[in-house]
Amino acid sequence: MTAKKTVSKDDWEKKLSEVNVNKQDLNKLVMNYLVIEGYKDAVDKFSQECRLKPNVELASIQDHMKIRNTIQSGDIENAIERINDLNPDILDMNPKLYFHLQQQRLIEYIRAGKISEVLKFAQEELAPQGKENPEFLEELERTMVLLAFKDSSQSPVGDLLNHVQHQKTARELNAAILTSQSQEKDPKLLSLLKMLVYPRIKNLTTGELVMEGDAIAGNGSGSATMMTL
Amino acid sequence: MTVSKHELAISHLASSEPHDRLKALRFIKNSVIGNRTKKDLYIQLGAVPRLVGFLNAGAGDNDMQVNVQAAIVLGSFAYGNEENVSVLVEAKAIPPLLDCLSIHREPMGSETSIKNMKLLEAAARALKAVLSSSKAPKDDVFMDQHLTDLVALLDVSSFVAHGADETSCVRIAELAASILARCCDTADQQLQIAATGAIPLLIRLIGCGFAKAQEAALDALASLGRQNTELGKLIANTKVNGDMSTTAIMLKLVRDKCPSMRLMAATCLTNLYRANVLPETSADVTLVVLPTLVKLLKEGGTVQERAPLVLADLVKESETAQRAAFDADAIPRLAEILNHVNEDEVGMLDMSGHTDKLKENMLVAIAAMSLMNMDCRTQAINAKVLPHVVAGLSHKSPSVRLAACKCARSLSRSVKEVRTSLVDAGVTLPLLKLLSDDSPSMQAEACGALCNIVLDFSPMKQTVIDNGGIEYFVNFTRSTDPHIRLNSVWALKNLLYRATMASKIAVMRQLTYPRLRELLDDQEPLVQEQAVTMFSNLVHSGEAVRVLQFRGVARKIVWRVSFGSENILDVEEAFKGFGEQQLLDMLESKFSLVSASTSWKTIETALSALANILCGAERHKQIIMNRPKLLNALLSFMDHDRAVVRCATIWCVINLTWRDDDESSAAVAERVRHLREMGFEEKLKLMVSDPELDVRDRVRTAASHFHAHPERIGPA
Repeated sequence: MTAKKTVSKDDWEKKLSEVNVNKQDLNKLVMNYLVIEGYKDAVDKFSQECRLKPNVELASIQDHMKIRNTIQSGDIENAIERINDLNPDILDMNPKLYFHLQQQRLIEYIRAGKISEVLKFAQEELAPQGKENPEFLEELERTMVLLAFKDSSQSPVGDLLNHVQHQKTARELNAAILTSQSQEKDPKLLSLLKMLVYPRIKNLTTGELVMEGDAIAGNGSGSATMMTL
Repeated sequence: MTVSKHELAISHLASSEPHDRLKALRFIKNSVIGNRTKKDLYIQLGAVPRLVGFLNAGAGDNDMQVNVQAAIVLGSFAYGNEENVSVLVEAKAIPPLLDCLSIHREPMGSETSIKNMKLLEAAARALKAVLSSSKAPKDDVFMDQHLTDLVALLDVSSFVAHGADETSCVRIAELAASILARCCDTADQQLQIAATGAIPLLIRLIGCGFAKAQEAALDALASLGRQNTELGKLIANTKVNGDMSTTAIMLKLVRDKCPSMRLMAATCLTNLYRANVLPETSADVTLVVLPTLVKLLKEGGTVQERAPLVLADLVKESETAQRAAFDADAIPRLAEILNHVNEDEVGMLDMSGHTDKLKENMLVAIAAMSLMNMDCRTQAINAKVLPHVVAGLSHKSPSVRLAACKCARSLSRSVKEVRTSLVDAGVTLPLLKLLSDDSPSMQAEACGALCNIVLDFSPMKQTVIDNGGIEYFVNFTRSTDPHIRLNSVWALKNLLYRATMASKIAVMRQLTYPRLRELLDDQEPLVQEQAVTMFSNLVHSGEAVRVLQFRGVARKIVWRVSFGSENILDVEEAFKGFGEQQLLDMLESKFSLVSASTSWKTIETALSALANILCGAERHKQIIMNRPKLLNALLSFMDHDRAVVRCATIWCVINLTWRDDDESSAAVAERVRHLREMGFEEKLKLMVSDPELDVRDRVRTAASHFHAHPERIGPA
């Protein structure tokens, strides 16, 4: 554990000015952000401008975004087909994700009131899965409880119908796709920001710091820790 | 009867309309991916032969999409259970998939080539999934052009130069590397892969910057270098990525943020270390690789499963590494996981065998680490590993039982623990039970664990004897398996160490002297060695002690100083059992340097047996004196290369020239005279300046015996 060192303002400014930030590194950071957030056209233009190749095909960024949109619209079956087109390993290697997608399908059937579909689907698809993976049984049971209440707002498992559950699954899927594309789940820019905010930067644009008198408590290292890109 | 939509899909596979076939295939694919039940269903409906049929029919543009989908579905089947893989193998799915890999030879840059890439990728993915199973034979990979094709896929830059998209090429290279990693079951396979030029390409891949491809390449290099010194050296010495050496790149990757990357890099480095190609950088191994592996134990999934095995590999047969493991607190970590694993088990069914594998691998790692290091053993016992070991000995999974056995064996090498903790933990009875296990290697391991438990000071010795241990060991001496024979003879030898006369008689009654005679001529030199030591222990008693715990550790030899009448009985018994002439013949044969299978260790042990015999009564000494061959052998061994042999020889001379209480001075004098005549005293004089202190001390004692009976000039 590093002890807290106090650094004078002048020392800090001096160290700041000594840091060399490589332009190409900055470009990589931006590219990384654009790729993970899925801005395909921006990626395309930016890569031409900086002569920087993205480490994933433009087509798969597009596919990823399509899948995201399909999930948002609630058409899980379609989304599964697209996922399998993008990379057939994803669902085979992520049983939990697969279960959650199937669970979401069930929820959508329930939401639409298609009770007979619900029962058929639960019997054919989800029950066998529950048998294979006992750890999913509990969640399956919770989902089935939805059927017991006509008015979901009264249901103890009503939260399953709301946005939160949907987003959870969407995030899980997003992460799996990114991993399969050798990307991380979050853009590096995000983590860097978090690190900057910690020693209390007042103004992110100017880099102005929160002062305690003239001394700043910090860990003494003025250089930004650049992660390997 | 309504036809299910699944049966419908299967029937459409045979449709004459290509559109219908493709539609059916996609339907099947989307049903099957991620869904074990559907995989089983479609296999039962006979999907596999049809899919293989598509691949075999091959070519034609229309069929490309069909082939891609067929390959994907076949690969997805392999993600189910191992039985699915057997079905695929039986349906001969592997060769057509391998054939798909050769389409990279088609010209690049056209519409076809993009479709080709899709098929390539689908086939490679499927092959990776299939070949990950132990049920899949790897032979097809090594036939025809398949290996060349696979290795060619590693050459990303060559593909890119022909206009292919880099990211897809890297993905395919990643899959090819993963496939190669799974085809290194034998040294022959490793060498064939290397001969096809895989290594430089793989090394280039580990510096390519695409994480998954780097990992896959590391995996392949780790498999190629496993227990293969030649390839290990080649890997370490091949330079491909500019100035950085391969080892330097691996050391960088072992600090990567991704745990599986760290594990792969650590595995590679471990193999290079075991191949002795990292002499200058060994500190890196103990200071970087080992701690990394220990930290990886905290991760989940397959990383946590594999890390202990790599650790076990790293510390195997290396005291330095085992000490480093102790310093890195490896054992408490392993024990902690064992504790957690057991807690989780109560609630959940272990479908994938993951919990069992974890237990097994943790035990293997603990066994490896405590093999030579006493502190590790104490640490393990203090971390309450023993209850897990005892439970493991009766576990339903044979590999867990075996791992527990290895653990018991390692831990029993500490005298202190044998006396206390192991007794309390109750290892003896489960171990005895394993002696009647089906598997020979299990029997051998259990025997090996019991070896230390039957030593004289062990409170469990009697338990073993009471539960029929002797009979087991004696039966095992007849085994055709050399490991079982070795361990059983070892166990008997330890049983006889400092045993009472009654015990010795009991053991020999079961073993019989003729059997011992056979073992003394066993074709395995190691078995012979143990047999001779057993014989030595047999003719020994009193203060004279020969403790040989495990494979060369703790050799303590204290030669007896006083003679008691009990010893005479031991020697007498042996002579009676063997037959006087036979016993002496046997000793002579051991001393005969003509026999190539007699190692210096056996000679030394035989000499110590002889020295023990010479502690007996006068008549025993006289019997030896009447054997010129034995005496000549002694004379020649005084010049032996090995100090311990020379030392043992002098002991014999000392004992021969020692005057026992009940002996007459004249008898001793006569022996001295005889030996002097043969030239022993002369030789002793030359040995006064022997390089070994031990030898010099003995020589002094022996010489003093000769001086006690000076040479007579003239008649007595």
